Amino acid sequence: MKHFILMIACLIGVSFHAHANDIVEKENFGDIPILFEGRVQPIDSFSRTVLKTLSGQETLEGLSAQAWLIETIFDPARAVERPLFNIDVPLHTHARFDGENPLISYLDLMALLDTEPSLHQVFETYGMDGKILLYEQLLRSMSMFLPIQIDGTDSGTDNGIGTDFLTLQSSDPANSALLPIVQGGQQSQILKVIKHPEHGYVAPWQIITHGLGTPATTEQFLAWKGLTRAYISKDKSQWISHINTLANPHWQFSIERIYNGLQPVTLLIGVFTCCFIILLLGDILSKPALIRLGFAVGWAGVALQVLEIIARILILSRPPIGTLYESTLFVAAVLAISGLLLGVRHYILAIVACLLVMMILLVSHYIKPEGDQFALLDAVLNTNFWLATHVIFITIGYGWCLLISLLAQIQLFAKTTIITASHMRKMITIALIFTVIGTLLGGLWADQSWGRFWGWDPKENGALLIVLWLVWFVHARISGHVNYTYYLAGMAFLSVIVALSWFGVNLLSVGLHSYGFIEGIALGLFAFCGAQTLIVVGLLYRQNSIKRGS
Amino acid sequence: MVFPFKKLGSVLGAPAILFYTLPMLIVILVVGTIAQKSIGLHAALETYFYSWVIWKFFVPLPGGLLVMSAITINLTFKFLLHSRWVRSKMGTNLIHLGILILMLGGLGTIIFKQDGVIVLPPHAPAQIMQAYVKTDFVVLKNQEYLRRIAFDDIKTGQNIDGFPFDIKIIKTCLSCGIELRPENDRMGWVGAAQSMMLVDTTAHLKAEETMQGLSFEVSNLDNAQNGKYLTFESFPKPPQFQVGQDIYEIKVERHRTRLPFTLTLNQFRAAYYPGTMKAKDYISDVTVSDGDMVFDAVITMNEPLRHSGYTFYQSSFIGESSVLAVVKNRASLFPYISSLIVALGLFIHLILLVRQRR
Repeated sequence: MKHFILMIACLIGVSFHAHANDIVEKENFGDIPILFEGRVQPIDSFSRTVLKTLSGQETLEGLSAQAWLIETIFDPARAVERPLFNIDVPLHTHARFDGENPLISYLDLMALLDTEPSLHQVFETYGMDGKILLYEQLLRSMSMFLPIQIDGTDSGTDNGIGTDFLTLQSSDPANSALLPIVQGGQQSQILKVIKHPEHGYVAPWQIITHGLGTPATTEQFLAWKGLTRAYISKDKSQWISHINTLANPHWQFSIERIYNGLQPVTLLIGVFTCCFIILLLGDILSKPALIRLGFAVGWAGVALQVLEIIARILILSRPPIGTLYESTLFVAAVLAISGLLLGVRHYILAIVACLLVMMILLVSHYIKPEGDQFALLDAVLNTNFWLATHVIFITIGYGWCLLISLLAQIQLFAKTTIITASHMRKMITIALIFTVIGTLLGGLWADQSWGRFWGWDPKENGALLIVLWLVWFVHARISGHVNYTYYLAGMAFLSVIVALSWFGVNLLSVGLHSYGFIEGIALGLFAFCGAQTLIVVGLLYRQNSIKRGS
Repeated sequence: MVFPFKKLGSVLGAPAILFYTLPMLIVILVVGTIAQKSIGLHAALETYFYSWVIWKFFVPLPGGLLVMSAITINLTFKFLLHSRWVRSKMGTNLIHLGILILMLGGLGTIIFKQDGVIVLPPHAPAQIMQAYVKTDFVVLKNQEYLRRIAFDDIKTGQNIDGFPFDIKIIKTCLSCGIELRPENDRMGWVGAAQSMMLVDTTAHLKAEETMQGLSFEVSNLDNAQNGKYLTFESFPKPPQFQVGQDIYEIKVERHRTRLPFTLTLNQFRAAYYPGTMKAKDYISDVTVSDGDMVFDAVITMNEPLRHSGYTFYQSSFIGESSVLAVVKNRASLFPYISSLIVALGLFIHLILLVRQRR
């Protein structure tokens, strides 16, 4: 075990005697820019993404993601003791993971791997090794500024803190303590926080090992050194001063930090749950005041949705829908707006629309990208024109179709007229406008990108499926081949058609639309389709029974 | 007796045809889409979408072409004979017209479309477009193409004449794998065929990655050259025969089309998001030489190059070479025209619907 601890010390390269540093101001630290996953973002976003990746949690033992990152990079000796890793590999039968805390510290994890080398293979299979490497890079990212401990004592003093790598390198370049720190530092390139005039953003260690230092980077490099020293010495004024040198007060960063802080999707689920409950109570108790309150809450939710979408546009500098996750956020907004507008006459529409919005937002949680939630687009998607036209049209079409399905189900259930045939026809026409034009625009985009208008790709076929379904029932109704009840049943079944088109085709993992593939939602999708089918068949049976009875 | 055009028109334009064919198309669409997972896009297209009949358990079922043809004929008669040419139906009529143009464009695409890929090595003029899937059996004389026969037209047992030697096809293989030839089966085989043999395999999910090949017997040459050979796509050492001073070579290769101009790749670039290997764009800087006309162009994702009826799309890359998809389609404008008409029709239909009810 002793040998193992020594190995860890070498790996991290440094240690010092400072402990929890609660006095340091952390606010503006989040505004420091970092290049991560191809995007320059506030370090606040980076810390949240990395903590979520490693632990599956937004905070850690009361520490915010930002505070956790500060501790990790400035006090790695303490950080490695903190339970962090969420072992999401099939090791639940292992004695170590029988306890209540599902997290394990880096130290314990290394000890475990030291005693059971066979676990390396399991970790590699499940991608845990990548997480460990990521963490190790973080631990070492500021190791050139941290005090060095040699043979249990500080090798010297520097303002009472201890000698760091840089000082020791210049005074005693042959010192054997330097080598493991350099070796660790060479692999530590995750924290790209120094803006370089030629290489974009680089990590502090890259300045040393790649010789990338320039007059432009020196100020930032020294500011990071100063920040490290300020953290260790708990010097608040120095901390703030260096953060002001490094932080970027750009308005996009401010928006992103507000977005991160608010966590609008979680907030929206709460808002629409409240809206649903209030409207439901208002309807059951026939209390107009409650109904009004419910609508007010609903419209507040819509305002938040609109702001959320605008924020995403501003942060990403592109139209709001580029991923499956973003499409769910947009469809939820379309549904909320439409449901609240149409629900003015029939509260039940607003109530069920709120329920649907909640469900879609919950689904969005499951398909949220694992890394940066502001994900970058694949090359073929990197076009603002088609994202702003085809994708917007088709997703509005999804929203309208879901609403129509909902309305049809309510109408099939209700004994009175909830929506007239004329209104239904208009809504279907609107759904057709969005789905048909969206599908045609998709074809034109394919023609521009791949040289063919229609290639029978699963995603294209999914969009066509909705159009054909709508067209079939519209024409069947006009020609008198189906009566109004079956027409409504067809429209009620639209939810299944939309679900298959929106999510189902992505399960196939074939075709050119490789950016939309998803895994792990098959069961939920089939359960939804099965439940909806049963509901529609049940409603149809009920309606027919009522008609036969009358 | 007068041919009952009106009656025929009524029958062919009947709404019942649409009512029964649309669900068929929906089923074909769903089944053909799911089938792509197991048999690949190309096979799914051939089996479900571009077929007249789908055979399932020895039962003939209507294929995509048949159903779409029925819908097109139905819509044509409905549009021409049963449309009400009044203002209130203007939107509907425009939608129907747009769909007809779209279907016509689809037919035109099937008939006229030529497509393939062109590989552009850096700084070397390229002019040859290779088909995605279609292959040819070719015979070259002194590296010049002497004969080219579509692979689909080659049959087992067929004699191919017209050379100073005889060729008899022993076996064709539409989807080949290569295996070691057993010791006891090497008699009569010459060259590489002595140690390797072609075996039928299941088609690759990506049709363009499926390998085709054949084995054949050559006679009427000297004893050293007479014998049984094999050749297949991308075979690095296809069989060669010397007749006098001439060298004949027998190959299987993708169908080639010579473009009426050349493209020269000046540079291929992949733009990545900073600090990642995730591509933001792929860019080919090319020079087009068409007779006296020489000009530079840039091809990127979503921004193809159009010239002389051909359109070049950034498709892939191999090392420093750029791979462009090439399409020539005389019907390429149809979807654009039809999309405009359909969109216009839908909006007019909605406006009229809203006004009508007021």
